[in-house]
Amino acid sequence: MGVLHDRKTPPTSGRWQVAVWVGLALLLGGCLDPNDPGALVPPTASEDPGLPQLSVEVAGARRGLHVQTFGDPSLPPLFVIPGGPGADFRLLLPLAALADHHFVVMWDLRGAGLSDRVPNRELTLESIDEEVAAVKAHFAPDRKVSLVGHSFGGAVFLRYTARHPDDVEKLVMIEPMLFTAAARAGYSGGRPAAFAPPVQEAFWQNEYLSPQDHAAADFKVAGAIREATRNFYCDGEEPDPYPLWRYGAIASEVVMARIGEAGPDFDFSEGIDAFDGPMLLLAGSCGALGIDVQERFNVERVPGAEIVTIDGAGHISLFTSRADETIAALRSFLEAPP
Amino acid sequence: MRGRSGRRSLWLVTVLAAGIASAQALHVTAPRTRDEQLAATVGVEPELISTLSWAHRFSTPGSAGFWAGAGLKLAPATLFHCGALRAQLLAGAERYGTSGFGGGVGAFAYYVRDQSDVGRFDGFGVEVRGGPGYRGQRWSAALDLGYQLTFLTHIAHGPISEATFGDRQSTGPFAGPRDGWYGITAQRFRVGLAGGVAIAQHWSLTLALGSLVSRQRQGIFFGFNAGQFPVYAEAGVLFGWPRGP
Repeated sequence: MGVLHDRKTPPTSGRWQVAVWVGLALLLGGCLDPNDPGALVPPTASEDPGLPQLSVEVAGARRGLHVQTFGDPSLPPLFVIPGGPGADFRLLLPLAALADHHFVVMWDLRGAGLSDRVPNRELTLESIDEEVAAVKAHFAPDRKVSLVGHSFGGAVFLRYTARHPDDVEKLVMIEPMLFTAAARAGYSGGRPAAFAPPVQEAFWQNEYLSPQDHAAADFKVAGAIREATRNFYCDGEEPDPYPLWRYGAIASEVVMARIGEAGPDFDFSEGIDAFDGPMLLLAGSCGALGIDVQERFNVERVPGAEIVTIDGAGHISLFTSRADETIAALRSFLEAPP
Repeated sequence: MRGRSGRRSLWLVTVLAAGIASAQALHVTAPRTRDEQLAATVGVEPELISTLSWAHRFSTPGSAGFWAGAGLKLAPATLFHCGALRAQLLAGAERYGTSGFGGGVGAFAYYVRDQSDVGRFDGFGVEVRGGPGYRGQRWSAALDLGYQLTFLTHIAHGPISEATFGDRQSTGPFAGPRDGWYGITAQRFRVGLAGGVAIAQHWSLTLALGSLVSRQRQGIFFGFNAGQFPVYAEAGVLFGWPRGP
């Protein structure tokens, strides 16, 4: 601020100004950075070596995936991924109960959950397919795997199955997102209530915490996600506390944009006719991706799939208050002879 | 080289700039009498907001004017849920020639707070807002340019935030979120248009529309998950009155 300093001002004033600026610099220098690992949100795989993880090379880059396995590796492999895009597998942890008959592998997709944040260019539908193949190459290189995907994860596994039918034993889609662009264009269910306090708060936070980095953006979602998923419950049902470590806010936006960019003819189920194994589409009876919506848009895209409904369950409560029924339905399907 | 009085004026403006609310109500309105003014606005940024501010005009010779005042910015939908508010000191300077063209700048030094199950947040920042414009006898219009920096925020994490660390990083260096002072936590840029019209001796209406963008290093310009809906709109009413009897 020297330009503003009057030459006739006593020197002590200048020293005082310098002291103020130095003090401010020291003050800010001693502050936490919102993007410091583990400051606002849990660290990712590359930030915390203590996390269970797997390093994979996808889209030309080596990235850390937050991966957890359950059960005996010699048992039939079962892969489980969450939805979002952006969510982590904490919600799906009750499915670890399937480890008594399967080698269960759960992971967060790149950019999501506690897996590494990656540049936007690495987040494509092709690279997600490549990522599933990389995980399979590590855990089950010579065996078929059964796949359980929730929401967006169900669509990811459907696409993988259609493109790699010989790699898949059984496919389970739990309330998968809508498979076709036409369906997504014609259905807007599930949008958050814009004026609900937690959603309004997420925007108000921009006054003091703007989404300048992954950590801040992810932090904001953690506060709003319970309210943002209210439409995925039965009418009048109070949302459960959402089991979440960290939501990949940026990956969520980027991947949804990629799906949009794929064009009006894009269909996650394209080529699924090549798969002749068992398929299950499981849905709750309530909420924005419940059985009514699945029957309206998705069921016809997966001919031959077994359809199972959990009465009174929604998109989230399938794994919380109604987890036992969900697990029982999965056991019935996965443990039945092919 | 500026003269001493010019430097003092610049210094005054700069200092005041270190300290905003309804800036468009400050620098583009067209009240006929306004040594003192009260402004109340409602808007979306995209959250519902409302502001209430008072400003006093210092007597100055010539066409320049200086303002100082105080205000509150509230988020009505979260006020009772989260206690979300921003208290601010505001200052401004304006200079309009006899042709009506000129400009103004408003500056705010603010304290912002919010509290919910996510945590308690107490932030301190500055916002500068203004632009060139035209002011006639009954109406005015100007660019509405702004920059906002929350440079210091104390975060005390609440149960939702703490729960995100559960059963994964419950021990070790990442045992939980860190409470404390965070530096440079928010930056926003504003580009819009603002205007006002005098509707009576003491009353004016104001309107501002434009884009309000948070700095976002991953390039997400528009997205719910990224907390980015880059629009704002604010309408207000201004009451001004002359100094003294």
